[in-house]
Amino acid sequence: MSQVREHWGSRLGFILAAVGSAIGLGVLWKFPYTVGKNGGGLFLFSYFICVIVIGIPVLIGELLLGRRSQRAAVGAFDVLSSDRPKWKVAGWFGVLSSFLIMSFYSVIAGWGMSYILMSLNGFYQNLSSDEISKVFEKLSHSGSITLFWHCLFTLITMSIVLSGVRKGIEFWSKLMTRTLFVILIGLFFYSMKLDGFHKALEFIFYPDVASFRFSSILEALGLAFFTLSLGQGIMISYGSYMRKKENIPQMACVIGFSVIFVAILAAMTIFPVIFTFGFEPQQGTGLIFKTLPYLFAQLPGSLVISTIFFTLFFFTALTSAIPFIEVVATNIMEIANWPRKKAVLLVALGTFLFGIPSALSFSHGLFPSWQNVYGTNFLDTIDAFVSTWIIPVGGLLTAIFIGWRLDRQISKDEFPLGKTWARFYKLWHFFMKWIIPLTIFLIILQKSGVINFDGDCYGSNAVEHDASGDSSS
Amino acid sequence: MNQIREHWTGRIGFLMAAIGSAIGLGILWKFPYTVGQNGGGLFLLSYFVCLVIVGIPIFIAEIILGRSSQRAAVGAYEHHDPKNGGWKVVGWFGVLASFLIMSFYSVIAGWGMSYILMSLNGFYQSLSGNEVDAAYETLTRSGDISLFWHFLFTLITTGIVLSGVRKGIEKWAKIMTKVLLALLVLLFLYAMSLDGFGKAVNFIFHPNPEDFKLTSVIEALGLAFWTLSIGQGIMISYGSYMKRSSSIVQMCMIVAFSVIVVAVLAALVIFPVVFTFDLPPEAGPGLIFQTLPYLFAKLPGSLVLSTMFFTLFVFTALTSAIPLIEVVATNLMELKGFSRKKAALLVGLATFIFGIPSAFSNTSTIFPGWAEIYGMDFLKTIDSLVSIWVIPVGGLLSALFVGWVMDKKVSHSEFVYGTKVPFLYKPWRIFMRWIVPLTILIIIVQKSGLYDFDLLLKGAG
Repeated sequence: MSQVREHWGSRLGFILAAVGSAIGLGVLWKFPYTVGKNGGGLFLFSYFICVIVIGIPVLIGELLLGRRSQRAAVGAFDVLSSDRPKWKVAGWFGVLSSFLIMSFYSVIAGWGMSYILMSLNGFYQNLSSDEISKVFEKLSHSGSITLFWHCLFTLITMSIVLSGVRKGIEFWSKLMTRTLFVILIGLFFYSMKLDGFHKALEFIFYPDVASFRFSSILEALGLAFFTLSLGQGIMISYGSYMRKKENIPQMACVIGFSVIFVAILAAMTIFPVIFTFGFEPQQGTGLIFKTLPYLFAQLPGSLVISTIFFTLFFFTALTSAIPFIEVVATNIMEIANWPRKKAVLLVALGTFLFGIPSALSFSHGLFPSWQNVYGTNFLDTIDAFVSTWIIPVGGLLTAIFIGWRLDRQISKDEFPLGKTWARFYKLWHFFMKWIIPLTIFLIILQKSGVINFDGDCYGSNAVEHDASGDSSS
Repeated sequence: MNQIREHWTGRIGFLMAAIGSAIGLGILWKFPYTVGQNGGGLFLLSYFVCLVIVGIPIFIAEIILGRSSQRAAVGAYEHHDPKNGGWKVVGWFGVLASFLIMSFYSVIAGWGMSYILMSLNGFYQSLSGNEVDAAYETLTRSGDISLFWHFLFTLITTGIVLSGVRKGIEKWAKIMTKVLLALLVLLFLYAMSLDGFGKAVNFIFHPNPEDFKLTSVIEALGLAFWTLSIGQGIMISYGSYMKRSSSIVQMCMIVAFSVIVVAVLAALVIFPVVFTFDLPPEAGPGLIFQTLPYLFAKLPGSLVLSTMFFTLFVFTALTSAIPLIEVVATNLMELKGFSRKKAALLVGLATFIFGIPSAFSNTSTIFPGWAEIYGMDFLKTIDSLVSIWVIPVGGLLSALFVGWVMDKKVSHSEFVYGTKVPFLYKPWRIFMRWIVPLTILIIIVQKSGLYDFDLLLKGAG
């Protein structure tokens, strides 16, 4: 690196950028549903525990790697383990997952942009539920229009990353994350007035022991990982823009708790709408693009509500997409010694091109028989591949690296001074060494179907709640 | 900024450029049929009121922003809000609006150019109404011909912007705005001699309360925004080329007054033709390209008449398109340090590319299912997105900025400089702080269906 590395302009800037990155589409469309389906309150509680016990320690680990090395993911492993260069692979895992996620993320975010425009036009106000579903079918099946939005979203993300850390990422993340909070709180107050609010509260918070299984804990863990942007090299990059004087564990806690707060707020905003109309809880594109628009259309001020909601969706996606491109680009910048401009343009072009099959996955314009071969369409295949394999494996390697390979003195140096922090450091190191690798390993086993902890009562000796009647289902 | 900023040569240069920019296709293309659809005189009155209450104050504010900072939109907000920097997003709003407008504007202007050529050929002289319609359909459905004109118009505009403020923008705006005014007056004199003139005057100025609704006021406000070129960052750029030598208020009054005169004059040119043949006035966007050519063909001297009219149309479009490219380009120049040449070429290319779907919007080659998803074709989608949302929201934010955030001393000294009416500063500031934001907010609420103010009007009446 010939130039001085750019750093965050302020602590607030860093926190808002990191929180914006962490709050991704998963929080909006995966979190509420997963909570409801896995026993509500009990699951929420285990998610909470997972964020604190697993999520925040890994977050601390990634930030620490970045700040210590002053490099992005690949370079960080390289610098901190110069005698064993193979650890670089862990960094490449992060780069790969960021690249792959960006490719399909921008397709979905593009649909979100399209829905902003549709909301502004008030287009679906007099349509029936079927007709609204059809509009989404038309949109997703129209390859050219989907591609148009995919291109636009990639362009917007690219131009923000192009302007650098302070003027680009920090400035826009600050602005958008703030707006996002305001919008979410505004929508939450609106939801509080709805009839379905109490039912939603019950669904989310009431501990339903019967539907809580051992796999729920793993599910919660996966969610904690995903909602904190871990295992994607992002927090290593963001850590590398941090100054030495910042308190990493404290920052990680602020980020972790903000994400929990936002996730719960999102759930309490979305579900009241669904319960008011007696709908079944859903997740994914169906929830966002079919059910919610129909329900919005029934509510007073529908145009404003749905425009604001999809703006929230767009901002959520954008603040998370920025680091995807940033991570891949900064790694290339450091390894190939390219200027930012060249790297960012290339990465954006790369994710755009690789995203084309995802954009065309519903219209079957490309790889028409993909679904027959792989069982899911291209977009879902990439999504599942990244979230089942790349992120957990990358996270596992990161945790093992920090717990076993990294010089203890180095990680200790990055912790603040003082007695309390020294005790905290010991605990943290123990977790990084034993608990975290083990649990991530369990997630991988469960997700990949190697072992099913629910069906197999012998394997679930650690679980007390696992109702015996549940294993028959 | 390492070089010295280019400035207008004088007041006339600024006035001609600003008037030319303000008098856009909105006046020829949207104004007449919107007046027709919304109850004539009463609508015209509310347009004037909107112009005075909302339009002129914001216009003044934008010029002040530009002149005091000597920067284009994004830079101007940054200059006046150095601490936080969040307000520069409002500047980006203007840049976005300009970019989006240019993309489809040049498609419509391109059709206008095509109609000059068609007029010169005397193409539609012996055609029936249906056949004239068919010619328009053929043109708009022919993607490649539309694209050709779209390209040509973008090229001409870019070429003018390339030559800089004095040699390009000012020089051409002066020539074209003068010709435009002369053509309009000539056409007006001609229209006076038509049978339908009396009826047209009656229609335009006679208030028809039944057709008038609050939604009409919203239309009027949108039109006021459009016809003054505000909310697009244009007047910030144009203000930044002003020297501190003349009174902003006086200049703005002259521009606004000219716009009103031209708008009424345009309506008085178009409606007599329509009424002479007893056609309904609420023809819609097809008025210019379908109804008028057919009617021109029936009038004496049709070839000259329609050539003149479409030359007027293209000049109107061109003087308004120049600042659209200029705004986007100067912001790039200031923020990225691009040279004028590089910035103008890049922006010209980008608007051309983004305009391609608009040029093809009446065909179904690009984005075949667009109208089914968004309810209207690509061109209209972009048009309504900009005119209903981007511009008013941008206007609201700029009013809030000038009223609440900007240093009072700066706006005061800019406002009162050289003016004979310094006492207007206080009312202006009250307008910027309260009346303008409230008006725009009411309109956004009404548009969005949160509350229907028409009920209130009916309840009162």
